[in-house]
Amino acid sequence: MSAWAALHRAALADALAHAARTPFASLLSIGALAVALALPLAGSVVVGALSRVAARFDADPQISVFLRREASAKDRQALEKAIRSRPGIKTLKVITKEQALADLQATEGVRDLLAGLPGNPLPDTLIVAPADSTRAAIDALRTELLQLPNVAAVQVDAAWVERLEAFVRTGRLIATGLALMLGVAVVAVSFNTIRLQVLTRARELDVAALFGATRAWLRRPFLYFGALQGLAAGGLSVALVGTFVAILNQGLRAGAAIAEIPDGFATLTLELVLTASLGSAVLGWVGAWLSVREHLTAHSSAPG
Amino acid sequence: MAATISFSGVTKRYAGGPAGGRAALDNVSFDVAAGEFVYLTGHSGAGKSTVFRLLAAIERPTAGTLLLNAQNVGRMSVAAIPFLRRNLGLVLQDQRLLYDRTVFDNVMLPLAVAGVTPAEGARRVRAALDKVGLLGRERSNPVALSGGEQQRVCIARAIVNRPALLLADEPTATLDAAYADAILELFCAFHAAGTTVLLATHDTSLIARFPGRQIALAQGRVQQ
Repeated sequence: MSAWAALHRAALADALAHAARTPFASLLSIGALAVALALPLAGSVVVGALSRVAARFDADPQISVFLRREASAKDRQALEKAIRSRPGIKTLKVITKEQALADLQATEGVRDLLAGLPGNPLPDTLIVAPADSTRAAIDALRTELLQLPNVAAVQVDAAWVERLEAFVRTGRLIATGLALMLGVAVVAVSFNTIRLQVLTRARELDVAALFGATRAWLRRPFLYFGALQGLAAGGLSVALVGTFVAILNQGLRAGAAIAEIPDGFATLTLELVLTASLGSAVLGWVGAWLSVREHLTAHSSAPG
Repeated sequence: MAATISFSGVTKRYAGGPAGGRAALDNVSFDVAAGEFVYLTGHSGAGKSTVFRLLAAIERPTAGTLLLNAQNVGRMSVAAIPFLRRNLGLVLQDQRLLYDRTVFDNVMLPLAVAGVTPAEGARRVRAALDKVGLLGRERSNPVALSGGEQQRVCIARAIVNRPALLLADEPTATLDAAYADAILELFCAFHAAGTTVLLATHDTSLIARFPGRQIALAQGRVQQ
């Protein structure tokens, strides 16, 4: 075993021994850090899920053209022809009121509801996909479609996607802000935990410095402790958020019968797991480094 | 022989002391050659401990040059200081033993900080404890030892790195005569083995029993 390995092994053993000597304090610090880290991590998971939903619809916006209910099949065909003759239409799909009713009747639970209604309450619908999906083009097309005869309403499906995207952007900003703030909190908690340790071991550090310990040697066990504490907190926060994601997905699957929600809606990606654990370890290390540096600068047997 | 220690015109004045007040060391010059056994004598407050603190680079001189093996200790970089200390055998007035550790771990400390492997370290710690006659006490806590035995632990810790220079500040101050003689015999034995020794004491009877060259300090100056 080389001297280098011996030094690191000793520092690691020292850090672990210290954690084992104060199990409650160590666990409480780790728990507090984990809860703090879980917030931005859960935020990132939710934002990630929503942005995936937004991306699915973002590619082609659709315009639903609802006909007046009293419009006949002939009116519908005329309208269909008028729209098709217009430039800038990529596809046009017709959903007749009969088809719409049949679709609905196939859905469990709604059938009974429909049976109680007199006749078919649904209108004919034309689903138009514009060739140009810029906002201006869609708005122009929407206005034009509204003016056609027998059109009751025009709904741009992109509108809610846009709102969702804005929401996702805000959410991402909040999650990033939280991550930054709580990252600082991790550094601060690590700084204080290590500071306490340094103070209780001040005499030992001083004697070691007197007998030839380098600053790196004095720092090393504390850096290991800070990094391990951060890593443990990161791991625990991943476990917490993992549980949250599992519960969330289960809840969403139960609701998937009425809303079309992709399976595995929220996922704790490997990237997030690694960022949380390693990031937290690095932050813990930084806190420890700052703490020991402050102590060594203020008191040590080395002249300034 | 080349000087191991060389003070030339060294002054040490403490910040916060009275302005224009007496310096702890005032223009002190002396040499100690390799292989010598030298006493640094003087009453308490004469500046003996300041000499040791400067030699171990715990403090820097206000003026003058102090060389240790031709290295300018006063201007040494902070990063180089640990390596200077590893070549010194330090026995300080306040013993600086760690009372939450065994005798073995206390003596192991200078080796641990230097990255000596546990197996090699254990061998050298036992050799050092054997030299000071404490081999049977390695598992004890220093608190359980007598004053004389604690001083021996300090000496074992000082020699475990096999330094060429031993610096001992009042190693017998708290001991009665019989213990003091035993400690002095240890230093004489290391000296006989080729180690340079600089030993501070205010006890002139000790010097009478173990003669050696003296450098006398009084009020921060070397007495001729």
